[in-house]
Amino acid sequence: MPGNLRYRQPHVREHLASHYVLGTLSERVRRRCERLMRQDPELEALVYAWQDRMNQINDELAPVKAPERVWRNIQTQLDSNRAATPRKTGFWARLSVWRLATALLLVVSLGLLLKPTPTSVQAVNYMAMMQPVSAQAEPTMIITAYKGDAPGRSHLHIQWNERLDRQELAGLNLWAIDRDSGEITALGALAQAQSTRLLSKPEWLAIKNSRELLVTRGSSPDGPVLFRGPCLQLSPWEDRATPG
Amino acid sequence: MHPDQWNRQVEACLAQVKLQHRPAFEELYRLTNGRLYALTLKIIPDRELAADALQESYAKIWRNADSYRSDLGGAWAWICQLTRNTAIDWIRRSERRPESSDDPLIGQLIGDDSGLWQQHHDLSRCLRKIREEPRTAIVSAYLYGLTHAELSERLQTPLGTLKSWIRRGLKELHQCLET
Repeated sequence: MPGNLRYRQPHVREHLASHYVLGTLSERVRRRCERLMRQDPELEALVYAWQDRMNQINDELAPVKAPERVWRNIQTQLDSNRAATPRKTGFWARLSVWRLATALLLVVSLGLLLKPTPTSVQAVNYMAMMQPVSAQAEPTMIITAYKGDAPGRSHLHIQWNERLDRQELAGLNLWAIDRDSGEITALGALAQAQSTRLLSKPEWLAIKNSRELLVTRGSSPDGPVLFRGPCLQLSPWEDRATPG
Repeated sequence: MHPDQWNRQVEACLAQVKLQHRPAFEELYRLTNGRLYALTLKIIPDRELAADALQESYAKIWRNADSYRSDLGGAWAWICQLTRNTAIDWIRRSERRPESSDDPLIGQLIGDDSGLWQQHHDLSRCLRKIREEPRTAIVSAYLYGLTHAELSERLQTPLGTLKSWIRRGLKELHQCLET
């Protein structure tokens, strides 16, 4: 670790992590701790562990609704930063892409689901954060699956990581691996899920029962795997007689 | 909503905020603003100032979400820590002294029969295993964002003694929670 070797000592790391989370460090020492965390994964892991331990106290606080002006000001701030920052030079700029994508998704959703969701996010039922097989820390995309209110209305959606360059989707296919049998089910061309792709009942069940989603090049599941991600259930849904 | 389900929703929202997804950010705000405002008010009792600090906290959540490591810890704990750090910066920069508090919550949190801690028996159990003075110092420091000097004054204890209480108390807490 560059810098002060003192921070390599386990008891010093533990002391620093616990006091960082407790909030007793001076601002100068806290900033130094944050710099060290970026360089020292062990210190960062200790801080996360203390965060999780002590955060239980926060769960005992009775909520107090924030004044309306807080969200209004945040929105204004987001919008003004988006307007002021040239595209692709700052994170605020990416909002315009998301606004467009969201609007598109919203229009499709309105048609499909017959219920408006102008400001809220429909509860995601399943989500897979797709990581490239190459050693890259950031996920490339998130694939989300939403349960529809009738057979054939469930749908799949891809959300790209706008920090990374988008990839050409032609020739890429999506697959679900069953968590028990390991059987692979084709979910079709990835390009189809760029906007919102409706799922058949067998496809919905394949996602529901999957342990992992895969993206391969070519039309065979044996083709080169480009991205993969475990499929997580995020919100429960009622298992009706006619799922999917 | 069940706490586990709520936590999963916060986790899912932050995963999407990492990718700069604004509707997910709005949903995250809807889910968390009441709890984060309550947390901020413990550190900054002035409601207007606390609202300003809360606004800055959300801006930081949006800006820094990509640094959150879901493999190391919970999203909600990460969000709370960021919010607490922001509130602590605000109160210390404003040069306002934290108000002397007769907040009943502190007594309930360190007491044995508070009826709180329904979800978190482990922290409650381990806090009860350490002596009352270090327990009070640790919970007060965390809840109100107090410095050692402020705690020393509030608890009317010499600074050296107070630091020693906290150091030993945290060590005992760590050992207990790990077993």
